[in-house]
Amino acid sequence: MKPLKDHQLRSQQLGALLRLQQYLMVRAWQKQHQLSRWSSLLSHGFSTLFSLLLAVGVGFVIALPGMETLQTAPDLLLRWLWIFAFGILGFMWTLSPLLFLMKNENLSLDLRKLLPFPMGVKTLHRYHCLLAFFEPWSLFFYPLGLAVLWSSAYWPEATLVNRLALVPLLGLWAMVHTLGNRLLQDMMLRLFQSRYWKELLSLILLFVVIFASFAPAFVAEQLTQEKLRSAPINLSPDMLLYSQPFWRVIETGLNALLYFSPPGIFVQGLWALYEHQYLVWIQQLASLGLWSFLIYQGSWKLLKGLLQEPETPITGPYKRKNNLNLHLPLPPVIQAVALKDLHTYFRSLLGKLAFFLTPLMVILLRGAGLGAQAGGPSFSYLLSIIGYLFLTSVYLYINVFGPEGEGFKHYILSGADPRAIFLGKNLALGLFACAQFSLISGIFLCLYPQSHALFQTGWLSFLSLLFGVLSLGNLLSIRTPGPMNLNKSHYKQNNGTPILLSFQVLMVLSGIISLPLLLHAWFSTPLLLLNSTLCMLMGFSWYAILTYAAQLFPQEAPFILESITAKDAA
Amino acid sequence: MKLMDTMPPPPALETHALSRHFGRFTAVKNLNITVPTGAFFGFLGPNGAGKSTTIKMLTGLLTPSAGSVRIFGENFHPQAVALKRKIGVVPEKLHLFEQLSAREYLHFSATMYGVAKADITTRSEEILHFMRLEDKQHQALADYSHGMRKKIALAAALMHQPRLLFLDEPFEGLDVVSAKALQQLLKTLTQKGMTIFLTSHILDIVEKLCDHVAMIQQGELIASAPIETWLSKGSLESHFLKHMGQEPLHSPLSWLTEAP
Repeated sequence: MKPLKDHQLRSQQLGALLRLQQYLMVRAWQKQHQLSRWSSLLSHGFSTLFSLLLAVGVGFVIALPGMETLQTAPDLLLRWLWIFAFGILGFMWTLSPLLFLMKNENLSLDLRKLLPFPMGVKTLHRYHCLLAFFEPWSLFFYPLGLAVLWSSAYWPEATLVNRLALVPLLGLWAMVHTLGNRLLQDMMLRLFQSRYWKELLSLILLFVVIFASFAPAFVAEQLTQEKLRSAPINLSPDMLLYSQPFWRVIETGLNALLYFSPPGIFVQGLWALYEHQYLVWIQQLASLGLWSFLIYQGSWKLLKGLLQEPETPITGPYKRKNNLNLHLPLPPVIQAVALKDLHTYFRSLLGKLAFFLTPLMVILLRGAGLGAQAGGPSFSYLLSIIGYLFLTSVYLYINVFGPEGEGFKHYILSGADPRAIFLGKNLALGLFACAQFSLISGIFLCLYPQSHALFQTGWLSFLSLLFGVLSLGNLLSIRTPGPMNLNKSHYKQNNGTPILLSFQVLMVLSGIISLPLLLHAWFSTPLLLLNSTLCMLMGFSWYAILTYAAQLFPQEAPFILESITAKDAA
Repeated sequence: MKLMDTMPPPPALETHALSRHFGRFTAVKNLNITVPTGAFFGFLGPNGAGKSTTIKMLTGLLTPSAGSVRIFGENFHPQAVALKRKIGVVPEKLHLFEQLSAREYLHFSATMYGVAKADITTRSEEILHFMRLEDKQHQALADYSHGMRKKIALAAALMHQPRLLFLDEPFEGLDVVSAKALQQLLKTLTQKGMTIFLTSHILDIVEKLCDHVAMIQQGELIASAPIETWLSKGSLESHFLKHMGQEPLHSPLSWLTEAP
């Protein structure tokens, strides 16, 4: 057999890679359960609709200045519209690779698996970049390109040349977007080799996401305060938006960063075309070209380094500090199970995320000015915090055997008392939640020093909800177990039903713990007494459900093992 | 011309002062080995000795911190595409595309190595038959047992007729019949001129198959000799235990052995 020439081999390899990508996407779809398929369809449908709406919306925003009815629109409004388009593009450019990485791991080609094959790293990198154009975060970008093209139809005095000149600008911008995303994705993969970086980055992302979702509250708070200070001045939120034509002029370091960033260059190129300044347009094209070149080179260097490092870093003998111990007078099985689970939660990525999520939110809520009324935060405010605490970590409670994997066999083989196993697991979760709530209490008391009284009953409400969530968790963990990897940023849960169910039950439970508040308002019964009674009732029901779960365990254990060690587990 | 004919072929594999550090930790230190063409080379060592790191460096999966590798007389580096086509690898961690079926994976692998399409079909059928996986050839690899995955990785490594084959623990998880058939196949392949670099903890098999054995401990080569030399002074197992300083204790786990 005559060996293939280099270029023949390369084209054969490209065909094989594209076929592989197609197989992976088809299989990712086929192996889903019916319920997941429907939810995927629904979520993809919404995404498509959303991106099309975004395309139309952004297109409209960009086209607005060119429309005849708005010929007289003030310059400030025009600039604000550019800022809006810039903001959306910039946001997507920054966040989309991480979102992709967290949600679509199974559609991404694992380059490490391709390393043994006879491909140069440079060739591999070319395929890597080429495939990036077909990946979801790139597909999401294209409607925006269409929007910009569509908007050019409304430009005043636009010639065919003027509109055609948009195509290379868009092409280069798409290239910068795709290659840039690839580079960011590879950078994160490199960081993610270390578990500590992975956890740190996830916490930072979490902070950014929470901050972004509370940003409107911050702005509103600032505006209200500003309004109070300068009451006679007519300062509406609109004024704030229209009076910020900051970014087109280099004034500060941040402005310079925006000015020279790819989205900034793109918008300036667009502006140049709109104003028929072709020299500026050429300048912006060259800038985007330079960005593409630099990103491509950087991404190649990074990939080369990434692929030549071991998948999991080898650091020689590593001794983990064991500074977590339970000194409780409890039977050894309960103690052993609880200690093992506590180690698992505090040493896992998702456990740490769940732990810090609510305390972080308390700080942000205070920053947004919520709960800062003269008499301090209300009891219902504290109840919402407690509800949120369990909402964000509910996946730990409803699938207590999921993270065990093959280790679950120990429970079957050792013949340990099922009640002790459940007690150990519930103790670990209870201590985890109590540590969380203690941290929240500390933060709360620092932020709202006047809220001491709130915690007398707040702790009872917390314990009531904890008993409720543990009862729910014990039942669901037996009835709907599933595989779970607490160290993966992407949590794959095949059965969406238990999560939906737990959210619904959690809503009901949150309603139950706010019942004393209602009774207190109606009958003026002391809140402490009502909460203590509720806490005792919830405690009794938890004990009864735990006993029932322990009775069910022996006959359900093989089913649990089979479910949590399923082959397509995450 | 005559001079060329009489010159011995270059060794299939040669390393010079090969080292790999991970921060302060040295996984492989100044490794010098030579594997003649057509040899069946056994590379032994306890867990964590640096065997897999060595294989990764020899196959371009990891860049050495220092030293060089020559394959069939040519300098080897991760981008040496032509040389990579002469190599087959079954790594310790089987990086397979889990969602492909066995047949699809073999097709993909052979295509990547530049095997002609007509050959791929016939070869994959024959090798699936040989590995006794015909019945499960359309099943996703995610549903395969460990032993079956090992077989598929081996089949994929053989599809392009490599001249040098690296096998990291190939017998781990294989059933008795498959292990026997694989031993016969590997023996035949070396007789036909293929060079095999094998790591295994099953010393009986190494004794039976290999014609040269090297031992490594804590990243350093401690001994390398033809198998006859090893066997002339006892079994491979006794040498291994002696070199690694891990001879069995005389009274191990007294609390267990003296239990009622």
